[in-house]
Amino acid sequence: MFGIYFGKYLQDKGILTEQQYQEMLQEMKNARLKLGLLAIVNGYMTEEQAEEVNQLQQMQDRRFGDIAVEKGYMTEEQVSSLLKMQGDQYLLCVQTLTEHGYLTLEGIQKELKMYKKDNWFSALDLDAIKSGDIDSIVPVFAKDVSIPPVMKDYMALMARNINRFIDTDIRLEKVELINNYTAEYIASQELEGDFNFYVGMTGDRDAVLEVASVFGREEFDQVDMDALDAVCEFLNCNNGLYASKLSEEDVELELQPPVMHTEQKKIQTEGPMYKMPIYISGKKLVLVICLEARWQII
Amino acid sequence: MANFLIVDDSRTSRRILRGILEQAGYTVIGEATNGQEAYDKYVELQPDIVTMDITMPVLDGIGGLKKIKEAYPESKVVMVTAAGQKNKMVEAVQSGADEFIPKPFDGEQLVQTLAKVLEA
Repeated sequence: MFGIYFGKYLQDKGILTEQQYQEMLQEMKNARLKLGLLAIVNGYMTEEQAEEVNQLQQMQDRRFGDIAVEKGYMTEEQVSSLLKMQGDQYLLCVQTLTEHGYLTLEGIQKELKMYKKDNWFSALDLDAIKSGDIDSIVPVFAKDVSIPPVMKDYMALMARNINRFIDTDIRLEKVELINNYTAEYIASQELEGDFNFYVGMTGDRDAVLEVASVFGREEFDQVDMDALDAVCEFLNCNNGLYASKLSEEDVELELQPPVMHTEQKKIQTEGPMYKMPIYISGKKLVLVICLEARWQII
Repeated sequence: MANFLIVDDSRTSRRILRGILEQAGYTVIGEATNGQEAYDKYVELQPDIVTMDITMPVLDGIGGLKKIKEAYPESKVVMVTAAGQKNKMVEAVQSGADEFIPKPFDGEQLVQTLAKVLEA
């Protein structure tokens, strides 16, 4: 998941082309981390020592870790800890970038610093993105102190469910405060009860079709009533899970039937409204959420 | 094999549910999109079992359940819902719901649950 965020940043800066970015993501899906790179990144070995072990490995039918232990470069405990890290997404990203010659280790460190600075990320934010854990990543992009906690919880649940039911490779962008939003098609639902909550799901045509096709288990090629019905049903299921969660805390929300809008509409409200962009396979989906103040879709 | 009436305002859910039931060998003899239509179809088709969504326009699933159970106490009605809110669940149980099926559908779990209700 880290590769989706950092790779996009590198693409936006012109360091990677769109094609290189996509190839990097594809490669990361099937790749395993090399022990040598892990040893260098973790400070257990120097680049020269790793290269020496690599060369010995080419002449002997032995594992990298066994040779490194024999040479006294690593302990068995260190090798064991590195083996557990082989699925680490951040390091996989580093490995893919360096192997293709897109960036050196030094270059990656420099660009990471810039990525952190340009996005006003803290060290903890960057760790959250590196972790790939969606629950840790959502707060990074929903930092605005004005966003009510119930709304942040909802955003996290939605991101988890998109990740679970639609696409495992999602990328979030910063949540923004807005007062209106115009979209070509919208699936919307109102939740009313101990507080009132209004949610709309919209986005690029391709993103809407992706949600409809995956969740609806049917291939859609145009955003019609059937495709939006599938998006509405996804929204309904997500909102049902949210209401269930709140119900355990004795907060009751009743779901109103979802509504689909197939012509361009404007969502507006007098209260605060937030939009959360979520990219699924590079296609932009937008979640529009409003709390308490009733919205109008005109 | 048993005859089913599927009640859901979402065409997507009706289509997916129909596919699961037919693959399991059941027959779907009708579909309805709200609680009132469910009752009317029940009277007309007399299905062995009804799957009833809760959140629907016009008359919701709890309303549809009540109408069917009042007129046909022996009927079997399984509530289908994405929302497991306590008050809705309690109301459905008090109104005679035979079982609950969560959304999104898990085909295997769904067929097992329905088989148990049909055997009861």
